This record gives sequence, structure tokens and C-alpha cells, in this order.
Amino acid sequence: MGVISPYGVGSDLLWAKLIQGKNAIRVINSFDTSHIRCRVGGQLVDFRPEDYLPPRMIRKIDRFSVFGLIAVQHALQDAGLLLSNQKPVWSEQKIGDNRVGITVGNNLGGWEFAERELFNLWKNGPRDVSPYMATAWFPAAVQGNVSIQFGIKGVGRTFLSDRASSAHALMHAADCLKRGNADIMIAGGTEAPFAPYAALCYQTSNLMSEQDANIKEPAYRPFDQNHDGLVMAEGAAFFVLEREEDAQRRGAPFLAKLKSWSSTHDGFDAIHPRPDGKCYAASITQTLQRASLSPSEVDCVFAAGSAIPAEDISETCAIRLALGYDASHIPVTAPKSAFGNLFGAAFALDMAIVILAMGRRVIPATLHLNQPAKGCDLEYVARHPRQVERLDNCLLNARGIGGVNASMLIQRPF
Amino acid sequence: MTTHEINIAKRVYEILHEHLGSHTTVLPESDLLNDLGMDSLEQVELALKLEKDFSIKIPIEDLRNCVTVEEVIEIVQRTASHKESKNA
Repeated sequence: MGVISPYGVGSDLLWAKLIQGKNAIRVINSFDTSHIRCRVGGQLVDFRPEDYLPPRMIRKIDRFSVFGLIAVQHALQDAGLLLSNQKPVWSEQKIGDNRVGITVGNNLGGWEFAERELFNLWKNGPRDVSPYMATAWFPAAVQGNVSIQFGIKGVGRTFLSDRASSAHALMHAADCLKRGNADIMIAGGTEAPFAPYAALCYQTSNLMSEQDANIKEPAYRPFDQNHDGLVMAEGAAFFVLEREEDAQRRGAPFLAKLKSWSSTHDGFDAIHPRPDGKCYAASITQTLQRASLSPSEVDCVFAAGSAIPAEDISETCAIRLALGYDASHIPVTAPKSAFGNLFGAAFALDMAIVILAMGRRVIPATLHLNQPAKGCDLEYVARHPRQVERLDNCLLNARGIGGVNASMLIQRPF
Repeated sequence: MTTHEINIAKRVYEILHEHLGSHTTVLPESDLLNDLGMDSLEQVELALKLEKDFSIKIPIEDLRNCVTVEEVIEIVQRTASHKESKNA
């Protein structure tokens, strides 16, 4: 896997900071935030794209593509699919590149690039606009850039479903493998929301937290009594997916098994979730049924944990509905509380954390969860990580604006 | 080639090196796409840079028809001299 989180580049760094309980949320300083109410976020600082990519390439792409390209490169490296010249193994094969695919979850597109060029357009006219506008800003740009960079000629899809985008990207990638449409799928998500217009789009949804620049301790608070909405974050996470037998045959490092998945819609409201969580529960139940697992066999729930009060309560309802009696004792956590919500990349980064957690049998904590909110009464792993004897079956959830729900059962490799 | 044309050629090489990186070998016969890896968008970007630097207007289509560096230089020389003769 390849990971870029608000802590920096790499999965080891992500895990170390999470376990140390480091809060990556700080006052936004990359643009003037006077037009928005949430002025804090999980912003990657001291990040130098030129340490990873040639300047000539950086000039042509947005920050979300930069994240995507670096994360994919790390994922391929991690999976043993890069040659010493940093090209993928299929670049030296006569056939095979059309059996490699890419799916990307993203929500906002490349607004840092787009806003800069729009400013140039209004200020100086069309001849001052970068010609790369055509390929830099739209959400599918990452899919294109990655496929060009790594010579991927098979399936290519980009998914936009708000905070469930990368869940759908990973689900589709796994489906492609199951159906035999590809042999290797690179899947994940990327998001770079720190731009004035992009931030404003979320602001107008009225789902953002209200923490101004003078706040002493900026925080993202899923399920806490002081939860007041989303806190945005940036980064990316990508994975190399293969059929189990293919991965075993080539001796690939085996991180986890995507056992089953499901997605439903509330069909309720453009912004708010269905309060009773019934459709969300259906997504969880279908996922467990497809894995032939009973609720008692779930070792941990990694919640969507949006910190939007109505969503936290309806998610709690959904988990209770789906897991029944067992919901009272199955640990529930939302590690994104430490760094913010990566929107279109949120599920992918959560999946990276699930994989890291399963390997160590440690459940990372929900930071800033001091007192659960009324209506939030699950077995939360609050403030401190928890060592457990068994962490083999993890349920990972995501949901997004418009009532999209997604669940996946991730198994520890044996 | 006049001194003015030579100076234009020198400046085009400088701009190309700024654009592609100083380590890139740029020759008159260098193919924009195959040798220098400049796709159509990058050629437009180059055209805009040349326009700004020489205070001229280069029809994007003309530049897109260029295959080699030499042809780019010729377009700039031609456009610059056309501008000067108009101004004279």
C-alpha cells in the first residue's frame, strides 16, 4: 500500500503518529479562510512534491494527482511490482498491461490548480491560463495521470460519491478481479481540498465544523458530545489488489483480504442521512451475509465517524440495528478523529489503518472522544489505543452526502 | 541568418531549457514529441511562453504543426520579423 496522510508520506509514519495520539489538525494557513467557518484542517505541512516527482510533471498536475502518483508508486513498490528502474514489471512484458486496471475515489477534483488558473483567466485573459487546465482539474485526472505514468491499459474508473468515493473505487476494483476483467487492480483514493472554492463548497453544505483560527485546541470529534461537523483533511491511499491465488503464486506480500462489501442509499434527503440508519444497517448486514459471518465474529468496527451530529447518531443506530446484541461489546473506532476527513480518500486511508491495526492487533483510538454524545452509546475505543487478542475481521464503513452508505469486511491474512 | 535571427534562436533554446530542465539536450533536429516528450498541451504551453517573451502572437495551430525545434525557431523568427516590418 501507499499512503499520504496529514502526518506525511508513508504508512509507518501514519501508524506511529496515530499510536502516539498526535493530533494533525491545525489552523489552515495555505489560503485566506475568512469566507468559511471551519478554519482548521488536517493539512500536510513541509511536503515537497519535488522530492518525489520531476518539476516538469508537477507543473502539469494538481496536488491531488501529486498525492495519487506518489501513493501509487509506493503501493507498487510495496507489492514488489516495480523494477529497479522504477517502472512496473508489466512494462517489460509483451502482454499484460491491458490486464492491469486503476480505480480512483475522489470528490472535489483539482481545485488548487483550477482556482489559480481561473484567477489568471479573469485577471489577464485566456492566454494566461495554463493549457494543462484541460487535464489537471477534473476528478478523473488522477486515473489518467497514473495510467500514463505506469503504463496501465486495462480497466479505468473514477468514483465520486463524497466520503464513500474510495469505498466504491475499492469495491469496483475487487469486483473486476472477481469477474476476471483484470489480473491486477490499483485502487484507492486521493483528495486535496485546501483551496478557497473547494472549501466553500463544503461550507455551504452546512456539514462543516465551526472552529475559527483562534481556537486553542483544534479537533475533529466523532461521537463526542461536542461534535459539530466535518474537519477536512488531505492525502491519498492506494492499494494493489490481486486474486488470492495470483498473489500467492508470485509470492506477493499479503496485507489483507477484502472479504465482502455492500453499498446502499438512503433515498431520503440531499444532505441529511436517514435518521433511523435502516439503509445504512442494510449495507452492513449484506456485507456480513456475503462473508458468511455473524455479528459476533466482527472484531472491530471502523466507523465513518463524520462528527456531524445527525450522522453520528444515525450511524450508531445503523450499527446497533445490524449487529444487534453484539453491538454493545464490539469495539468501534474512528481514527480519522486524529487528522480529519479526507472526503473522497477517507475510506482508503481508513483501510490502510485497518490493515496496520490488524497486523499489530491494536485498535487505534478515537481521539478527542471525551464524553459520548447523547444517542451515541457504542463501545467506542476512546482517546487511547487498545491492544486486543483477536483482530481478524474488521468492518469498515463509509457514508457520504446524499445518503450513500458503504461497508466492507476486511480480514487479516492467516 | 541575420544577427537578429541568431539572437532569436539563442533565446528559444534558453526558453526550451528553462521549460524542459537544463540537463535536456536540445538540438535543431530534436523532435518535440519523440525526443523532448512534449505532448500537444506542452507545445501550447511553450507557445504561450514564446509569445510572452517575444511579445508576439503565434497561431497555436502553426506551432502544433511543428515537428522539430528548428521549425519552432523558424516560426518565431518569421512572426517576429513580420511584426517588425508591420511596425516599420
